[in-house]
Parts: sequence; C-alpha cells; structure tokens
Amino acid sequence: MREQQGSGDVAGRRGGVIRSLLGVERRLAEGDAEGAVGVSSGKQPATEGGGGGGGEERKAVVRVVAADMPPALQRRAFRCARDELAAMPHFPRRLEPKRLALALKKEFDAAYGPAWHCIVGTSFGSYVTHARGGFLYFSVDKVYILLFRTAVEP
Amino acid sequence: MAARHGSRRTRADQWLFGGKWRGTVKETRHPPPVPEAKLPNPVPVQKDEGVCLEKPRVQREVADVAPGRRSMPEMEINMKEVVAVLGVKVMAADMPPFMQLHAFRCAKRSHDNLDKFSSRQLAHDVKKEFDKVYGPTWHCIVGTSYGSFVTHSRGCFLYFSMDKIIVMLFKTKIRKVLAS
Repeated sequence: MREQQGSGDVAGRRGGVIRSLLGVERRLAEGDAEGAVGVSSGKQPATEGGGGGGGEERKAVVRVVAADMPPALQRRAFRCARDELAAMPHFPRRLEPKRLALALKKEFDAAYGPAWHCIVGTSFGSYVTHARGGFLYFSVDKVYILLFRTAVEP
Repeated sequence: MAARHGSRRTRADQWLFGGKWRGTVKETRHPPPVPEAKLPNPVPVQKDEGVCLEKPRVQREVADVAPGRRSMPEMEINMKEVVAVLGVKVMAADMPPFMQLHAFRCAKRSHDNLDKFSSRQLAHDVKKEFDKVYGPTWHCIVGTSYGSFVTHSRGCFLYFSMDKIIVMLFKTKIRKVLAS
C-alpha cells in the first residue's frame, strides 16, 4: 500500500460532514454533465520534498493537476484556499481539511449555485462525475484539493 | 450418534455453529473427518441453538476463515454480522441497509482483487457499480487522510472505514441521465 500522511492530519479523518440542499430554488443555466474523472493524490517527486527552500515558506505554491474550469473560477479557488490555509495555525502547523473543504464549498455554492463538493487531504483517490466546466484538482503546498460541481435538479 | 465420533463431532459442530458457514467449507480445511459422517450434522446444529463456544481457539480460527469468503452463506444474517465479518466500520450513513451491504461487499471485493492497492481503482469500481445499479450520479472518495464537505441526495450517503482505508460514497441527482 502506498500511503502518505502529513503531520497533524488525525483530525482530518473525521471528515465527511454532509448537508442536503434538496429543495434549493435558485439555479443557474448549466450544460450537460461531463464524463467521470478519476484523480489520485499523494504522488510527489522526492526532489520536491527535499528541495524546499526556507525563503518561500510564506508564499504558497499552487499547482494545477487537472482542471475543467474557467480561469476566473480557478483563480477564485486558489485565492480562497490560500487565505484559508494562511488562517490556520502555523506553529505547530496543522491542516484542517474539513474547514478548508467547507469554506471552498460554501463560497462556490453561494457564488455559482449548487451543488459543489470539495475534498481536501494529503492521501486520497476518487472517481466522480462532474458538470461541464466544474472540475478542479490542484495542490497548495502539499495539500491536495478536489473541487467539482454536480448539476442538481430544481 | 455424537458419542461415536467423540471430539471430532464436537469440534465439527462447533465449527458449523460458531462460524455460521456451510459445512462444506469446513470440510475442505479439515481433511481428517470422514465426509460421510457429516451427513447428519444439520440436524444437531438446528437443535443446539443455545450452544456457546467454549474454546477461544475455534473463534480465532473461524475469524481467519471469514475474510477469504466471497459468497454469502445461505443462512440469513443481519448487517451487524456482515460488518463484523468484513471488518467494516460505519462512521456516518444516510442509506438503506441493503445498499450499505452492497457497498461493503463491492468495496471488499475490489480491494481483494487488486494486486497493488489503488484508491482510485477502488473508487472507480464502487462508483461504477452504484451508477449501474442505482442510477447516476454517484461519487466515491477513497483514502487515508482527507476531509470533505459535500452535498448529497436524501438517502444516498455512506461513510465507512475498511482496514485503514476510509471510503465515502454519495449521490447527487443530476438533471439529465449520463451516457457513461
């Protein structure tokens, strides 16, 4: 088995907070749903791990692994993720994936309509179906974030 | 008749009753007992409903046998027993029991079939199975360290752990039926 766990991720195991938005009246015009997309995180080159410079600690490195999303939405996701990560405690550094997932989902639900889903972690794989133009899989530092949208019925 | 075979019969009865599996499975693991002698076994088992296992070793060995099984026994068993056998722990669920059982078996089967574990492959197998049986659109997340916040349809959410793997399976109804 290939497993990677960041320090302080124990709290993240209790993820899965759910909320039902059935009955939401507001909806936006949406295209057809895309096919299924599978992603897998945790694969990082060894060089990256050892070569991290201290000077860049303050600037979060954003890397897009896979995307099917307009650039404006992507930038918004990056900014939101960076802000949330910056707000988390640094000493000791602790990742709160549930909090980050909640923030991203709430922001995108409010801005672009339901239903968005967000997965945050250091070691997970997935296989999902997303709406056209509503899929983003990126990493900030060593945290992988999967944000995708599913068209919902009115 | 039990007296004739002494310890063998007693052990066989305990095997059958304790594990709640079919006798044929136990025979393959215990060549010494004579096959013909097994014929009358079903009768005593049915009568000894109140029998308690006295030997811890038997329980442990039965547990060793369970993970290898894929077909379910003829006897009906409740979900608690299935959960115990498959080593699954449900952490959150909004799903009918029969669908939960389906997910457990599907995940277990996929996990056992993979020579090298792949969380993506496991997620793929479970999602495809549920899309096919219960209609689109299902999503599956598999991993050891992640948090999430999602929206799901009523009665279509399951969050469970299997060994050290955490599986989240949920559905969000879509406007149109997908071809894939």
